Amino acid sequence: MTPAPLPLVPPPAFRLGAFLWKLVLTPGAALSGTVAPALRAALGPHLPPAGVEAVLALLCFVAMSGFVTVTALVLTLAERKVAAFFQNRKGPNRVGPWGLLQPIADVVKLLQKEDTVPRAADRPVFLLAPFMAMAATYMVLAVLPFDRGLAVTDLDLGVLYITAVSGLGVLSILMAGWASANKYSLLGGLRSAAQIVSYELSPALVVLSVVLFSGTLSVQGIVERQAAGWNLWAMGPMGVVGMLIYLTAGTAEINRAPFDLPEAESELTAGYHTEYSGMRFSMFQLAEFMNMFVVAALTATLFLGGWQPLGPLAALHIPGYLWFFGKSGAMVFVIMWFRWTFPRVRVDQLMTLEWKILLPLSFLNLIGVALWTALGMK
Amino acid sequence: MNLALPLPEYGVLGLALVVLLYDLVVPERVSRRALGWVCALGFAGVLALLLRSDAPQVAPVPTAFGGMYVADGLALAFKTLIVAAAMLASLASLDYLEARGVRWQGEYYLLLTLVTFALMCLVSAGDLLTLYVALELNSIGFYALVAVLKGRSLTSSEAGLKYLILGALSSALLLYGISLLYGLSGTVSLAGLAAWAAGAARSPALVVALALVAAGLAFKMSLVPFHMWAPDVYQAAPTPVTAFLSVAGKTAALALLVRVLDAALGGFIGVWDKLLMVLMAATFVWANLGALKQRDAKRLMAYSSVAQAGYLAIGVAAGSALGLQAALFYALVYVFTNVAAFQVLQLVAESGGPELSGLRGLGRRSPGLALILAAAVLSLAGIPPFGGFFGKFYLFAAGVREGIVAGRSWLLALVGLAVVMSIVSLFYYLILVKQMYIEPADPEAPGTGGPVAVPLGARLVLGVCAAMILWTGLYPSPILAWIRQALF
Amino acid sequence: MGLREVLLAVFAFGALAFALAVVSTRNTVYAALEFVAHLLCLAALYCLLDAPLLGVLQVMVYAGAIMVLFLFAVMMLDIQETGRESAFQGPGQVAGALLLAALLFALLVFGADRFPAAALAPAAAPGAPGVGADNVVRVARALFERGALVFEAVGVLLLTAVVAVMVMAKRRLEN
Repeated sequence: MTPAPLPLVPPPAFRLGAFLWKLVLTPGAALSGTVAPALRAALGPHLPPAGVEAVLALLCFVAMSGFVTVTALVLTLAERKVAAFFQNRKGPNRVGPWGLLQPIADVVKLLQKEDTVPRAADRPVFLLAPFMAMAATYMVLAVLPFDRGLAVTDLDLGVLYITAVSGLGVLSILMAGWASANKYSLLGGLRSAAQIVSYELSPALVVLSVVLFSGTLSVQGIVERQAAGWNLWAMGPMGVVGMLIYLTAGTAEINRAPFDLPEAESELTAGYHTEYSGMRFSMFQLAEFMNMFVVAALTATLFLGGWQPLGPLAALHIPGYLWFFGKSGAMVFVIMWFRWTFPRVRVDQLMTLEWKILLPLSFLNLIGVALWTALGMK
Repeated sequence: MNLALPLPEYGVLGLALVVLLYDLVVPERVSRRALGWVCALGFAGVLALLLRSDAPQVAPVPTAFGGMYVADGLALAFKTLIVAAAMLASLASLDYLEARGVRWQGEYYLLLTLVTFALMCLVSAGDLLTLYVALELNSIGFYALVAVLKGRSLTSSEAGLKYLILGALSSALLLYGISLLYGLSGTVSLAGLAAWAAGAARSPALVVALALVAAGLAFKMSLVPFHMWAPDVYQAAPTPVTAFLSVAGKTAALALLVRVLDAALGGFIGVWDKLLMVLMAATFVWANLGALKQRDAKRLMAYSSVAQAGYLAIGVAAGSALGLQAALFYALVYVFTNVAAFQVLQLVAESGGPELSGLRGLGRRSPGLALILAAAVLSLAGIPPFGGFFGKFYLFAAGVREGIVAGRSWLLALVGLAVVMSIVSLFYYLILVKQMYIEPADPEAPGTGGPVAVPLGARLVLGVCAAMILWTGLYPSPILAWIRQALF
Repeated sequence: MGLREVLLAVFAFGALAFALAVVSTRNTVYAALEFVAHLLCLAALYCLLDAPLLGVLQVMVYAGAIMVLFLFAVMMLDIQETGRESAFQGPGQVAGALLLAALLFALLVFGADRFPAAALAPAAAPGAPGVGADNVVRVARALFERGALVFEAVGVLLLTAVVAVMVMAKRRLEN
């Protein structure tokens, strides 16, 4: 008869340490497996179920806001540093070591600026537009898979949802352009609407081909299916073509150079946000930087395996979120590279590219993926 | 599931693709006139296919797509009529479009094929969904076809717009009725509706649903008071389109009435036959009296075809097998008669203008054309020995029989009204004949000198139509046998 | 009353309020924006009623594409206030509109009362796991098996509409 094993209770300090270590290695499992149940248990007796969910949602919102702020700060600096790198300059180098604190200084400057609303502007719409821009961005962030289990939520219809809500951002641009009562703003807004509506098609078709190949609409599901091989090569030649289409059209969808006609400064001053200043301006900036990150992150998720490690490197046990941010960062760099490499296109070239090249190509790609899948190449 | 069942539809879609590619590949400066021949040949091929296929003689009828597509004899017979009308319309369009230098000829023939496809799906609908989508498809195509002369004639644009707005309204009515029916029965399948209607109770919601559906269908059929688009549209549309719209659109609407009211909602005949008969009575009176005062030949024919729609509906209101056969026979006669009449009017209008007076002296200038027009309008009026006589005779007989057998005195009264109004209609049909043969030609008027030029396409149309008018009037038994076999 | 019912009520009244705002606003851009809000409320309702696919498609197609084009046209044409007078002219129109609305509402209430339970029952248990994905599969089956012909016909319909719009709207380019 063996003695019953003693219940082994590690000391609290050890448990905290283990939890923190787990948070570093697998934040998804730690947060959704440990923190969320603990919070639910703690709040359950005091609040109705709806209240508990509301508190959790609020926490997610706070966390995402922190993420948005930090990412935007990093990206503003990165944008200037990359620009400097391409132009053989030093870039920001006065505020803090290597100019690292430059974005903080920028934020302080923007916050101090006077918040102006033009007299002729349509006040409610003018004030609402920046919030719309932020809201659309936040809605996409809700399903971004940072790591296994680490996302605000994992919807069954994830990629469809992304396609749907990322289309809402253009409303804010139209609203801002129209409400400013300024011809440059209006032209910028209209250009942007035409551009975004056109360039929604081919990314949607490329996403569809990925969905077809993966057999799921869930973003996490698509990443899970790439454990054996990233879609970039698992889909055969269609993976490469699809990723190129997605990256090109995504760059156009977020109005970045060389597709930055909506805010072409030589023609339209600053496009739809000409009349905005201070905080409201920075909200547009924030939304634009976040949209760039979202396109980069989605490219990484759909084609580069998201948080999945690269084949043999899995042995290194690098945490998934580092893979995710590494791949997204690489894509962000590519998008910035575009900006400093290609001259701005004309409107007709823009439309020709989408309707006569990218769109037929996406259809062919979709057919190719369908055949590839039907032939059992996955 | 039998995917090969809608073969005729596939054929017409293939034809549409050919037209589309031709328009894309052939350089812009080359005239699209050849497309008319391509379409006519394509439709002739589909027509041959339809005539060669036998109507199913045993229940259950073959269906595809889970019952959303039905290939019964009714569908086959009506499709034959529609494709024949489409073939005649393409032949009639050839020189009409060329003479007017219409720029959108490629699009015109494409729309013509797509509308034909829609009408074919419409008569094969086994489901309210198929029905609605096909109906919208055909309406959208017709809106554009009516307005294809835009830029040359303001009235064409006006007619297109009017048709669009009223058509959208009628679609909304129909859709609302369909949604109520779905709510009440829990099904959109016509077979399911028939099973439900056999035992369902009546309710106010049902009456509203039936009224809305009947109104939506009556619009397509152009029964008074849902006819207000017809005169303007018929007058302003290109004449081949008018002919096609008046015959194919109307026969398809007739098939819909038969399918939805007689077949699916036959259990509620006591509810909808009152609604339908009120519409029909209004149609007989209003259209026939309205036609009397028309000065424009196409407008007169528009009122005439509104009235003809009323006669066709007698077969539906009777709700009997005999009524259905009579309606189909009359529809067949009506297709060829009306196409013939519009074709002659189109040729005459090229030289003499759209007014009735343009017909003056036609009996001497072009005796052949005058003879065909006279035969057509007398057939429409129901004078022997032309097909229209038998058509009307069968229809009225079916109505009277059903009225006596089933004791529906309202139906008897309605048929009586139809007979009276048919005599009134003789009056305005004879005005056309009088213009051609009795009124002296005005020597000063332009284009009344020599004989009217008849191009090859029109010759073919007139030849086919004249032969059919005579055949249906003189020796209708093979056609009746074909109809009986189709509707077994 | 759970969270679901509360949200249903909120979005239902939101949809109604925005719909009313659309028809009563004089400013066309406002009306279009309110219409977007109305559509978003409807999408939320679909999601709450276990038809998330419909909800997402609603946002994608209507709010994201159609209304953007609509706003585009309104802004480009610079349609300002559509006259000073009220949308309804005279008490007769108001009374007529109210009467019609009351009739339709009565029809809805009494008609829905007679709807068989099967027509109103939810397709799956509310909140059941996998409802979303299942939704896609079921819609796909309905679309591409039974509804394949209708689906293709809708494709033909769009082609027809495109050609029809070209015929009606495109101006002739003289060399």
